[in-house]
Amino acid sequence: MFLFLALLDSPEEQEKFREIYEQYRHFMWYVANQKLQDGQLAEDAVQEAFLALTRHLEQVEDVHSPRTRKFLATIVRSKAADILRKRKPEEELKEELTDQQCEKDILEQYLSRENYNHLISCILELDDSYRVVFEYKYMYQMGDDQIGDILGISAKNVNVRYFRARKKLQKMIQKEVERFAKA
Amino acid sequence: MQKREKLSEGEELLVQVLEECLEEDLSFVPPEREIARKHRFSENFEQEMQKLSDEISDEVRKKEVRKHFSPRYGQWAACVLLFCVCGWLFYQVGERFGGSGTKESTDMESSAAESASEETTTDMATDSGNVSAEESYSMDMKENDAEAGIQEASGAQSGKNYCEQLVYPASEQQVSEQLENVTTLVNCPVLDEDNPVLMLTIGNTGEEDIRYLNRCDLEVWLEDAWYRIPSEFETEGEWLWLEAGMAVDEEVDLSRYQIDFDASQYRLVTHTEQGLLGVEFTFEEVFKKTMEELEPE
Repeated sequence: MFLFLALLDSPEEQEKFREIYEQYRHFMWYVANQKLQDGQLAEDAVQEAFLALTRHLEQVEDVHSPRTRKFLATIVRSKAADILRKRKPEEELKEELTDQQCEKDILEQYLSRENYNHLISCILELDDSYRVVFEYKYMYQMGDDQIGDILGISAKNVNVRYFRARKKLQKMIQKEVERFAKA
Repeated sequence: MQKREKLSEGEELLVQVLEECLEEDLSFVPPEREIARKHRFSENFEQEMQKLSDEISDEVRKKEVRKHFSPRYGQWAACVLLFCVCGWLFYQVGERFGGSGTKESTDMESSAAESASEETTTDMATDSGNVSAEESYSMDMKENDAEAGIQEASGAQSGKNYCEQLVYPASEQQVSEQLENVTTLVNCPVLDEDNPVLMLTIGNTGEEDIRYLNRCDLEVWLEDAWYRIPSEFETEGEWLWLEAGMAVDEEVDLSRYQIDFDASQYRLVTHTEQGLLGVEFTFEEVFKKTMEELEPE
């Protein structure tokens, strides 16, 4: 734990952390509880999220900004997803096996204005453990090392998860486009 | 937030979609107050978060102490400059009042004798093996006391009359304000005569615990050297531990000493197992006079 705290450098950062805790702890619990449907586990997710936040407080510029609210939601959702994955490891294995059968990465082709609505519905349906990797990488521009630090996995595994997420999203959009074409 | 990397058109669109989806998800979250009314965090959660908060406070405080006491280039430069000036002054004084060739040769002889005696002392210390820092320190102090005794016996030329008492030169004239891992500060370098109480702060900036003596010596600068002022309530003091990264305050009541408020400079000398540390201070009237002298008319 002391390793995390070593990154809080000044009383200003300490104050920032305290402010975030006071302002967002209930919000974070609510977000976690939506995913976990268990108040106690949601508290665990919030606690884990705050521990992770001590190492990435530089991502928070303005405590009261909507961006901070989104960032905290992403962290706590990723922690909730971690808890869920730990509870159902067999699902992860199943997913890995199906992933291996997937085709090559052509997601870029589907990322177009015409598919905007398909993209929205697919992202909303995408598993949180994949969606948060996209959010960390694209919305907050975090590197694999930083993402791995929050998720508690290596940078290499972040990359693996990122490519799985791309394939999963690609597959979902493919299905959605085909379904739309048939209709 | 980090600066955005160049994203492809598709990735820019993905960012937009991700933002929109997250906004949609969060739009269903009620305000913080409303959630707080419905949910109370468990005692365990509150305790864990309090523990985390305390640890953060502790860590930040330690860092602040380290930052406060860490040497800066300016301070080092000032110290070097001060040593140079003092050295030059001593040289000038030596030149003016120093003796002839005979005196110089006597000095050389005595210094050779001193170095020989130092060597003997070092050899003895090496032979004795594991002598603790405290023991070696007290041995040094006894030697210093013995030297002072010899000086006293050899005549009153080394002692001075000061405030109706005889004071003798301090055993160490060159005492730095900062050692490698320990430093001292006074709360008020310019002191009010009506409230002659000083707070001496001893800070351990290192990674390991150190020992210090909870008694300090008061010394006064008289013409050519620092002189130790005896206290009416002098005690031997006690060796205490100071944890790494921590600081301790020791109150020094100057009313326990017979002092002359018009003397130019005083210093408090702290004994640590790493050596002596000195921190200087003066009184308001003297400071004002000095400032007036320095200011151009």
